[in-house]
Amino acid sequence: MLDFITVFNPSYITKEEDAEKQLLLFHTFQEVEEGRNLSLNEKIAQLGVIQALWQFSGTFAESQDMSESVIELEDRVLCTIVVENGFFVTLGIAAAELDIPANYFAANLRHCYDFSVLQFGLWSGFTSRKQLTDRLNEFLVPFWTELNLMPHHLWYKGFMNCWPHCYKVADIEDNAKTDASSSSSSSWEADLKQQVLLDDSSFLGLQDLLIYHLPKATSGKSYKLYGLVRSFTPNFDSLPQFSNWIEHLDNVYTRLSSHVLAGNVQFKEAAEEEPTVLANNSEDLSTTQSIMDQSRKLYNNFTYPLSFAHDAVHEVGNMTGISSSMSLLSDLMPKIPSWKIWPNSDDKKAKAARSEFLISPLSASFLPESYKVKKMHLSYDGVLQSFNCLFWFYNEALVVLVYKENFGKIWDHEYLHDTHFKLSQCISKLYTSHLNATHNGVPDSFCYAIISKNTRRLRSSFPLNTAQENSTKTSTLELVVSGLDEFLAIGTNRKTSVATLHPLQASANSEDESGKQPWGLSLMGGIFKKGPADDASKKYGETFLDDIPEEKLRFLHLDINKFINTLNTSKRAPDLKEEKLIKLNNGVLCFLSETSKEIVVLVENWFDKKPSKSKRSPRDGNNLVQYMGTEVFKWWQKNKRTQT
Amino acid sequence: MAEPPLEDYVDEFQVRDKPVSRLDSRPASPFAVRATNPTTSVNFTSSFSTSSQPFLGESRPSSSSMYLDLASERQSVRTNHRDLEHELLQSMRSLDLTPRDHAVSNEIPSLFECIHSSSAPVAALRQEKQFFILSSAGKPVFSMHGQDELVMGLMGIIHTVTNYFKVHATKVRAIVNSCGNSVKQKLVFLDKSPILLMAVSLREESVNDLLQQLDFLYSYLICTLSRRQLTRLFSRRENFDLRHFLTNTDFQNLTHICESIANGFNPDFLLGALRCLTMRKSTRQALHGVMLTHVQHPDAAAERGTILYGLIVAPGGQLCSVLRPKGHTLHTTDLHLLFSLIFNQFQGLQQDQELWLPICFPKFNSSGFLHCYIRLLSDDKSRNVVASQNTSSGSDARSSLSEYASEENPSNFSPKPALVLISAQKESFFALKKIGQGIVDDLISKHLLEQITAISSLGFTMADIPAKFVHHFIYKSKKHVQYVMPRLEELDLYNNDTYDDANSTFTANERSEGRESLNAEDGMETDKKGRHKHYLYKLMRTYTHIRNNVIDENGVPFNKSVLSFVQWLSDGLPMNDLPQGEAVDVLCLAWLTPNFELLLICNNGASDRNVILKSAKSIVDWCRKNEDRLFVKNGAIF
Repeated sequence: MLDFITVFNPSYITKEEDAEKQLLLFHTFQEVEEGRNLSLNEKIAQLGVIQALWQFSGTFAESQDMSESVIELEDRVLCTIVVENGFFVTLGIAAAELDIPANYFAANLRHCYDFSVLQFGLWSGFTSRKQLTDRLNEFLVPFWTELNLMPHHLWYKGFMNCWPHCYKVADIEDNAKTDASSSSSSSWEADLKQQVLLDDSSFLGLQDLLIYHLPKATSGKSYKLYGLVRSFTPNFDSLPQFSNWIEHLDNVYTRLSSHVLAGNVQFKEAAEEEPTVLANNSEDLSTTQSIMDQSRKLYNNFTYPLSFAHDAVHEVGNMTGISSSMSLLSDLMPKIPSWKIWPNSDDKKAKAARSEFLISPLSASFLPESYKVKKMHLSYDGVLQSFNCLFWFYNEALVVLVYKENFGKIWDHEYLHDTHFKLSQCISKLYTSHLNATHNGVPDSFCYAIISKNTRRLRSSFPLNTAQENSTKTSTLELVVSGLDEFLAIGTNRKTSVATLHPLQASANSEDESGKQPWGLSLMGGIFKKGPADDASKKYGETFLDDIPEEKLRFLHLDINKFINTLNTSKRAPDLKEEKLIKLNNGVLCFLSETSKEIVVLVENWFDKKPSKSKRSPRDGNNLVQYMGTEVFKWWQKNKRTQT
Repeated sequence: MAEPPLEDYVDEFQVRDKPVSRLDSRPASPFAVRATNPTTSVNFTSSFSTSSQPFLGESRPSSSSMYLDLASERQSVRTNHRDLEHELLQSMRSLDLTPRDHAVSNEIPSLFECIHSSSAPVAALRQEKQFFILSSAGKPVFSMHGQDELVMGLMGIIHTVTNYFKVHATKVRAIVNSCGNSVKQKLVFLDKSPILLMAVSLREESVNDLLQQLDFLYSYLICTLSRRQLTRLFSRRENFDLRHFLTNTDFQNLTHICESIANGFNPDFLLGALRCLTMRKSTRQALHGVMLTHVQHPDAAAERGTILYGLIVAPGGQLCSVLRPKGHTLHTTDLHLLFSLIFNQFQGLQQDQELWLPICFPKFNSSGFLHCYIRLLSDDKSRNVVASQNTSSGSDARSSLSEYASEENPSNFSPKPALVLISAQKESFFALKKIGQGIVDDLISKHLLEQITAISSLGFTMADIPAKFVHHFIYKSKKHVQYVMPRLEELDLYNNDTYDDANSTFTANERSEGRESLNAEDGMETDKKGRHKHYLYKLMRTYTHIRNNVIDENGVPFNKSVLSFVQWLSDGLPMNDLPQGEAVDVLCLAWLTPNFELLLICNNGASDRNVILKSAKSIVDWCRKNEDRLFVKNGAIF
């Protein structure tokens, strides 16, 4: 599907002969035909054309005005973004059969750049061209290879891709208000601030605390409560990028785990050969067979999110003679007292809540550095700096602790245990006060999305196109944890590597099962297990769109994407706002409004509209929104009120 | 075009103290509707010029019978109505029906950003629209704007880039450049080897719109050269310079077409439909009849195979009547080309001159020529005939009509209707001339020509349709591939004379102050013309914009039927200290169904969606009801 990705910067050319110097990365996704590889000249010609068209466009309008260009060819699309004043990133898409809108690609291209900056800083910050190329190879190529393998991830965000620079925030304000009045004790936010942020031990060292709520609804769709809940430091410029990064990881790898965050996982196309072929070729059938059995068992277990069972490993270990792996596994367990709170520990009630550090210096000592602390390049107050980030979870909440680089205390386990305790206190408070509110059962009859242009916050209740891939497709893909493979997968069962995960959305009961295992690597892996209480409440969709079939949802997103495109192409005078109401005969009624401050998208089904038009007050301002359903209008007015 | 007649009352308001009650005695009149429902910006001129409109007669019993005697009827109606209009104007003024906030205007506010911003460094070719035509070998053929040297360079780039892609077995279709969330420009390529066309637009036109425009430009080239000749020219020498082959007129025509696409008011291109002259069913049938009788006349029977199509077309490319063989139609683009030629190039034709013109209809057959017999149907002769008839009939009405005609005539620009007969045979001129003469004679003797001339400058207005708050609309009937719209004063599609154009190629620089200058009521004639042109430009852009709300980038409707409202409102924050005119509050509607397409612009300030929807429905009803008058349904089929 993808053709190639290239990064180049024409300003690197100093002399006429130096044309290849501008080329920083050129990766082709197509199978290289026998003997025919793209020559350097061809690559440079390609860059030349992209650049020529860019310059050419500039003769008709100021090129500073442009940051993105989509070149539509007959059989391909070239999508280019220009970043940091001169770096061209071009993605070639051979999307003849897939009608993915170009802006979906453009959005991901921008994300890709943003994430890479988070990982290793501004591209222009590199002094050595070679070094930058290496980094780009490390980051951009896997990023797009994965998307190439799983194009449905491009669909995932649907029309939200129109705003790649915005980030999703969890829309839980409603509950917050009701609870603030009822709860007499201090709010979770104040607690967090007092106990963690302003705590003597970490004051000035802890730059920021980001709290995300990342529910994995069993319906697979709830998106309203998804996203950033709270960040504490103002002027965090990288917040949109950071939040999008979290969301991207969570989406692509279906769950956040230490491996994912550490950047050690990657989707690979699984080997196609059947295990039986191996068995036939083997001389000692009986031994091999038993190993096969074990490895199948193991294989099955590994379909759980890295929560491979202790005993399975044990058995295999015996069979294959890697008993040493046992000690490895126990080492993987962070040795902290609180781990007893997990199910099947000696507590009388299995606690639903689970919490632990995903990335912290508490993780096993043999693990690479990236499991202990994640270095991120974040920008506060316009200054891009490197920060140490620790990741901590509580059920479905993710807390990111951003520490200044010179803050040494994070290596102090005592301090971390302490922080862990405080965090779990505060976040459980958050859960009881805000996130536990059971849905009243009646789904909203409309969906909304609000994009604030100033804060770049995106609030939305539109369900997204989660990948409900059928098993035939996913079986060819496996998630490979690169580091662990070497440790645990040796010799015969190389194929069914221990560190191989399946991206399949594990069903709820299999997760429960895995939870019943005495203990295991689940700590490290698919931590975000759903509590049973949540399951019950999620039976009802939150919006009317939650129940519609996958394909319809995708088309709806495409339609809305087109509508938004009409806003984007609009050349209205800057002092005007534009509103539109678009009604399709398939039931879609969409309201769009763009002002200098925000963009609002509302969708409802006009077939469902209750015939209550008569009692509506005749003129509540000059808004087209009043012709949507009553529920929408109520929401609109409430929204307006909260804004003012 | 000269001022339409019957507009004089606008300037001379006479105070007459007559009671308003007379108004109430005529409930059937559309005036009543308008008066009782004051809109925020009543279009006075369009509201009150109804008298000249043929449909109005219907509501009054006296006129129901004899449409053919239009002139006399109109005369009486006119005097009648003029009184009424004055009264009404007077009464409305005294009642002060003008609403609170909005100034009364028949204008729509400027809705779109002006390109010009002095702060930014100006790009080399900063135009809202640009068209390039070059040969596949990279030789320039035509460019809408720009110095030769610059254009040569740009065309070099186009050539290189397209060739690069050609080598890679693909073609570049379009480039969309954007910044953040707003699309900044679109570049669209049309490769019709050996000709390559490219359009740049900074407006909200969709890629499909631009492709249509390019196709029209290409069609013009084919129209003069024919595809066969074009390929032959280039097959001999690939780097043939087509500029040496094209005549000066060709370039003028190309400039004119570009100009009228870019800055004119031409829903024709936007909708891909023909405009049709509104007339009574009986009149239209009479026209068809005249054409048919002469084609099927025993004298002409011998040469019957000679004639393919026949057309009578009124100024502004308004189709009156079509003569066609059974089962054959002409493509809209072909007719647009033909009309463009007639009303742009051949208006200088004298009364007794006939034109025998080889023309290639690209959509009919792009490799061969058809031959057109074109004759302008001037009033001169008809006036003479009428004058001679005057003595016998003594109808002063008719003479008064011819007075108007003569008033119009001194300025030679006043466009005339034309008769076109199309044949496939090169040598059938005399046969067609004979048929043509017969038709012309008949048209004159049956007074049909007078009617065409009279009606063509009048049309209908918003006041004829019981639709409140509507400023202007375009209704396209998909079945007929024709559209209608209320009359716009001074509207002239094909005859914006080039001299004027050269100056008023208004890139927005000139127009950026338009908002203020619009309010300056006193203006010279040129200013008035410029303002009118600006008004049409705004109207056109608005229509382009709202049409994009039902049809996507590739010209595919969002759904089988779509109803879209678009509203522009002032955003609250006043920009760059410009004195704000009236507050902007414009509601537009685009309605697409399998049968029709309705684009509608409301008066500034009218924002009640339900009322607008009702108005839209009544417009649709009205258009359906009057389908026979509004559209050429089948034409004369032989």
